[in-house]
Amino acid sequence: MLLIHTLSGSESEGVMLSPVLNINNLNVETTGRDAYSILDNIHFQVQAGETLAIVGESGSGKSMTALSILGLLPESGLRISSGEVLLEETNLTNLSDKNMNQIRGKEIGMIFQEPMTSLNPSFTIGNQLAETFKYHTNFFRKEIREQSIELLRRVKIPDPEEKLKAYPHELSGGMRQRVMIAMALACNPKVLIADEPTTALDVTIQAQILDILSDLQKSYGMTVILITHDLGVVAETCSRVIVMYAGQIVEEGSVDEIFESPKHPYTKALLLSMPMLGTSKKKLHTIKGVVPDIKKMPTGCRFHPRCEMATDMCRQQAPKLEQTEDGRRVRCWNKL
Amino acid sequence: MLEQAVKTEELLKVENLKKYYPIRGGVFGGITGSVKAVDDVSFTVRKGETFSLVGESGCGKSTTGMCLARLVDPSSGKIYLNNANIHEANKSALKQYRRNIQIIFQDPYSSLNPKLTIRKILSEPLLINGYGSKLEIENRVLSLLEMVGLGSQHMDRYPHEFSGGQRQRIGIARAISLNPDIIICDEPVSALDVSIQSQLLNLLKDLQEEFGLTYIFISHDLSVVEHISDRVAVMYLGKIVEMGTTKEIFESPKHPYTRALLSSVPIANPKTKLMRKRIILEGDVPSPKNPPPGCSFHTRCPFKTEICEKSIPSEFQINKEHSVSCHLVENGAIF
Repeated sequence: MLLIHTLSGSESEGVMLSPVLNINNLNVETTGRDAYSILDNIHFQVQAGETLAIVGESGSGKSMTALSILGLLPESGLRISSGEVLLEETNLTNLSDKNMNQIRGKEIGMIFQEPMTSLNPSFTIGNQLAETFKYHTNFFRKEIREQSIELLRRVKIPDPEEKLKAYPHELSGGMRQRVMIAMALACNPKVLIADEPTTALDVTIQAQILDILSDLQKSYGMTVILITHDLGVVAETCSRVIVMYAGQIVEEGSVDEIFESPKHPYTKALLLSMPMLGTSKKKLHTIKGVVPDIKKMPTGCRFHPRCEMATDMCRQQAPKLEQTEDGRRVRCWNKL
Repeated sequence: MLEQAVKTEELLKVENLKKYYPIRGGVFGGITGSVKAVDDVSFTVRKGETFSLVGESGCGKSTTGMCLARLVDPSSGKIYLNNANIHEANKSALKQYRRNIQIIFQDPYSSLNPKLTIRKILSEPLLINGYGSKLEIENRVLSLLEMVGLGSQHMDRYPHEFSGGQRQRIGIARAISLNPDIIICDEPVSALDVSIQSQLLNLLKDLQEEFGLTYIFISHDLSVVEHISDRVAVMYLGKIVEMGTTKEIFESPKHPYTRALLSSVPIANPKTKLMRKRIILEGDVPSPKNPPPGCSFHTRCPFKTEICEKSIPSEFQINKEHSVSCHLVENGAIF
């Protein structure tokens, strides 16, 4: 097992940790006559207690990675063709539905983007929180109620006793997302996967939610995988970053490294094309073209049609995700 | 900076604009209250500038935009374009007006008719407004497409054949086709990825330079607003709480809400994380059905005093360009 020290928070600094989650050469493709690759050889580890960001534009495969970890890929249309997802020692890819249900919600918690649609509108908050406990624990009614109130308090929902009786439509978007976080935390999961948890929210509410997430991460040493397209959110909350493009990991490194000295041209271009507060009003850098269609992946490096530094080598041969001397990983022939 | 000094000619003037939506209820379905979507908003837009309206969802920024385009009729208030009265304009005057004030919508997927080709979509406004002969229209459509970075090969395609960014380009081409005085951009880049967003922001800037366009830019994304605007108005619960040049608003915000809003924006630089102090607001935006008395921000304001709960703050001029509606700034209690 690899022993790497993570950079997350002061507590874990310098402590040798083992990975909680190992994603080994995961490939996902479409089913049907022509199998198109959706995820190409995704390989990474998540260390206990760290906050890992997976960043990319739409269509980069970041959400698909999360869904494959959770075994939630849509049954018709997509399948894992090879590779494994190891939660500590267990391989999740060949678990039965029944066993997987024991993992989801208990070992791995999840939060989705849409707080409006991820709660059931016809049950109260209390009811929906209790469901998690009923499924995974053998608590009595009173214990469930106490635990639920405690959870709502943890995510800083004002007067939790009253809120247990509320229906989702009575809560604002920010409050609903807090309820989602509370539900995800119910069984103290080893890993929390948050898929664009703040994208649908306003900035002031986003700040509240990110604050809660990082508080929880600090005080309970939770492991978080944060999936987002917002590099600002990444810089503020995460310790390590994986950048994805067109179904592949193109770069991996610590937050400081990625933001200060990106080695992949895509990462660099992405950082430059964002308007940032307090910077000059010069023209923005642009990445020409669009993300390629999965049915028409370019030959060689998948980024080459949009890359300013592309050479003949890039057009012909696909680069491998290589480890650099300082422990980062980059998929590029002409590393910056 | 030099450029900013030149822009003083008033193009659009809005005075005490209000839009109240009635709430019906009770046994007989009578009007029981109103949602104050836009509540007494006044501002002016100068020729050639980009004026931005920022705020969180529900603050009334889009409704203001819709009122300006007369897509919804304001409940009261006055709008003047080049000193011509718009709020009382009749149908034929409105047609002329709408030619001069165009709008780009947020969602490039639902703002183009899926049954029409791009050629049809772009020539329709030209036809309606009697632009010229068939050939002239055809040429105009072609040059419009080139202006926004598309080409003749795209003319006979349907909207579904384009990506989100390309569709938004078509939306922009449609908006500039009649050489309008003002273009209202209602969250034009919010639905797009970062790399596409930067392409479009640059395009909007280029077009502005080339044709001297005036933009009213509506957005919730403060970094985009800082990048593109000359002047900014910050809205909260249907009111403008602070207005000034981009530089003033972003470098020395005065209203507690503006400060909180700016400090909430995540910055893509891990180094600044430790240095800056975040103001995290508590609670949510109150319902516009039932806005709090006094200053509408007092329920979330970290500095609130007694007076804030009782009286509505009036506009206070900090300098010629910068105004703020806050008792505390007016009293000198906060700087």
